[in-house]
Amino acid sequence: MQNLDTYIHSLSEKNIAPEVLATYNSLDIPNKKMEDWKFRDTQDWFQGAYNFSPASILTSRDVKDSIADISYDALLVFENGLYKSDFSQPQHIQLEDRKKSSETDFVNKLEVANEICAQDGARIHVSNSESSQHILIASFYSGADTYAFQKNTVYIESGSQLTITEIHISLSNSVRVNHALTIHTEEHSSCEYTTVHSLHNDAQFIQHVRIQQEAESKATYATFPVSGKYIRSWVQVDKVGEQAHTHLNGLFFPILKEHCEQYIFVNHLSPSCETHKLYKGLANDSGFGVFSGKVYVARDAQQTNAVQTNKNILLSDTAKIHSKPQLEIYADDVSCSHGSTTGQIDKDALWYMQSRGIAYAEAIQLLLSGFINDVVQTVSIESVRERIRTAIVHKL
Amino acid sequence: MTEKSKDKDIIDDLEKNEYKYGFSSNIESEVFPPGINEDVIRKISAIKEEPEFLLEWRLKAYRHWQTMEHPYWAHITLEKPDFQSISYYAQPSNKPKYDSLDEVDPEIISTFEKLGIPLEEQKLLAGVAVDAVMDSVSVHTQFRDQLEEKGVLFCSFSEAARDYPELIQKYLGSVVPYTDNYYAALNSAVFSDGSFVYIPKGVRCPMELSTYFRINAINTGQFERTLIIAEDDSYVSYLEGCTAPMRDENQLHAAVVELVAMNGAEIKYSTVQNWYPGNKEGKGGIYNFVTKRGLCKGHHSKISWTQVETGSALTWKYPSTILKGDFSTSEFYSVAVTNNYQQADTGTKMIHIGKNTKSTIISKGISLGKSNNSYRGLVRMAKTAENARNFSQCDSLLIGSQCGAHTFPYIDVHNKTATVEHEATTSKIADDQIFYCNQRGISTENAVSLIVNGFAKEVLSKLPMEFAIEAHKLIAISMEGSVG
Repeated sequence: MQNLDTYIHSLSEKNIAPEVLATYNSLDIPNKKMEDWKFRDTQDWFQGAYNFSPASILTSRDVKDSIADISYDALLVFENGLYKSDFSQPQHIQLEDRKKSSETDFVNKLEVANEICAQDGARIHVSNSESSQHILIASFYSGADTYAFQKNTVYIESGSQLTITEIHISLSNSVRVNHALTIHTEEHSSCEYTTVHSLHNDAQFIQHVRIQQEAESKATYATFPVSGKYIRSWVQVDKVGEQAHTHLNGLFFPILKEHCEQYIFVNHLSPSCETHKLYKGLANDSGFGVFSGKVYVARDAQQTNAVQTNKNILLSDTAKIHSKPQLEIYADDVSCSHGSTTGQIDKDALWYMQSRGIAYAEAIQLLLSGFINDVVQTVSIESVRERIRTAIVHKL
Repeated sequence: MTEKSKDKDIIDDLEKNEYKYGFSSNIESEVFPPGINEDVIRKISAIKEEPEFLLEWRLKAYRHWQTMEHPYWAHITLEKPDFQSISYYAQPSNKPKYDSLDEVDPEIISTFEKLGIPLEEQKLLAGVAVDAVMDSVSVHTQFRDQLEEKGVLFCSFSEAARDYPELIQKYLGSVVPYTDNYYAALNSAVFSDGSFVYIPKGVRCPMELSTYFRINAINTGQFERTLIIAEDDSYVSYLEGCTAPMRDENQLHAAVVELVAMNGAEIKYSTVQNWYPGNKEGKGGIYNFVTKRGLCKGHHSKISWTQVETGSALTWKYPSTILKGDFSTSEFYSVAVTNNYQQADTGTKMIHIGKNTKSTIISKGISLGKSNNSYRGLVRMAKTAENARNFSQCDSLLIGSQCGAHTFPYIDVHNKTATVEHEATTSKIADDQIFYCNQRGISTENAVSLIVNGFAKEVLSKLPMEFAIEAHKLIAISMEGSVG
């Protein structure tokens, strides 16, 4: 058991690029004084004592139970950020070696910590011949006071197409996960990445996602934080090529004392790109939801079309939602809009249904299912869609 | 000429447009040497013959200000002003008070005439009372007698501090405490003058009250303080308009406006702001850091803000309302036009505390040249705000490819029965709109003007009559070259 700083300094220096370590040392711990962290201090992520190399306890039964209902072409299993070849079925997926990076462009200290500490992760490189597959990544987190790091990289070559679903499952209560994902889509390629979190109610999860899109590529990223004490997802999309299309979808549903934050930044750096952002939030009990989205349009990114939608429903008196849909636009020939609503269940609709003999509880269930449906519907793999739907309806 | 180059010409014309009201009048000023310290504050207070509590309050504010850090969160580029190089008090001529217009320095009268502000008896017909603040001392107050008949108090802040200290003591800083923010603290320490309005219970103010603030002497930051109190079931419409002469140095303006509306009272606060925005290269211009806040203290009270912002090199202001009383309502209507190197970060805050409170936000931003125009707003539904409602709409229009338009809305909802709707769009004037107008014989220039006027109409129509005309003129000037 040790804290993060001690752990990082105990790591062998030859595995860490000095620039990265320097960046780590120069950054402040994310705290409430920072605009993007104003709802959560992260002192505990740096100063608490954790187990950074827990023993493996994953069994084939755990794997089977967790993913039995999902169809896939290839399966990659991880436990606490380490690849489990015994349980995986990689088929002919190319898994690259972890590269030492000297990149210093990080959004915060936690992302740098991931770069330094993540030893393993799904590193998928797809060329044209292996297109149109569904890869399932099952990431398990286990052990007491575990602090796990994982970094996935997905590289899609020109003309290829890939669908990935990643399911995060905790096997014990007190785990912390620092996860990172980068997706690179070459010209004319397409990638759909869906993340589902099924974590224990004491588990905490922070994720940094970077998506880089070349010309005429298509990326769809969807996130469904179904359960977990604290789940924070930060996504940045850089459209470096023209006519890149992006769909970003999310559904967050904090209940009890859950805390869920979604930060999504889309940088339009080239002309004629399109972005569709749809995030929905439901909050019950003392649930706390945060949506912060930004559409940035650079001076040269003319003909950008960006739509940002955030809809939230509060179900209890103590639930809270904070929404911040932002636009930052420097090009004049663009069409950008955003809409944000926060409210309660439509009383007229409820009354209408009750007047036709549908019981109150059932009517609410129906209305909420309708509310979440357009986000869930965006997932193309049916078995994944059903899994998400069942989990959320169960939570309702 | 191709369509594209025509567009470019129009945009160039818009950018070239000079500040029409740029002139300065030669009036003797009593100006303090630059710098700020406790002695300066004591001196200001002494000149104003202020009661002891006010001096104490100023000093407390000053001490607090010294502990604060300059804020940098706004989406603007700004170097921290050197507060020691600013003079904190300027008094036009030595004579502080006049009984009739004849006694007023003719220079002042002619300045106002150039601005198109008739200070003469014609104003009576127009039904407007003017409390003109030239630099810092109130030089002329009209219609006081007529207002006094109704029991309405409308005077300069210094007079109010002398004549009605109990009201000042009760309400000063009750909406914007001196600890609120950096510039509010500075204002609290050194405010020179401003307006004070008190509407007694059940009185409907018989005329629109208006004040023209002008910044005249070089390097004298103006620090006005406005306090409006509307007692139960009263009504007042207050107009504030600003124009300033052309100057090269950046001038600082940090005002504080406080409104208090009791049960069933209504305050309508309208602003037309057209201070010197700097020249085409972005040199000079006014820095405008204003804290405006209203408190709907009583039930069924209402505060509405309407603003037309075309001036200032830097605008940093968020007229806000705290909806504390049940069933209180608030509205915010804003048009902000930025040109050349102007930067505006403006918007509103609606803080819902009472039950069944309602607010509406309509904000229109128009960016031209190399300017940046941001809307920043907060809608907060507190836990107690049962059935509260908010609707926000912020639209931006970009004219030219060098400007920026931004939206930063914050929506915090802590009550499940509250409903918040927010929408925003950013677009340029569509080619098909221009084409449609051209087709019907309207020149491109006139079409742009037509579309921009239509874009801002929703807000302009909320202004009182007298201001609507001036506002139309201002937008026309800011957009000149396209408005026929």
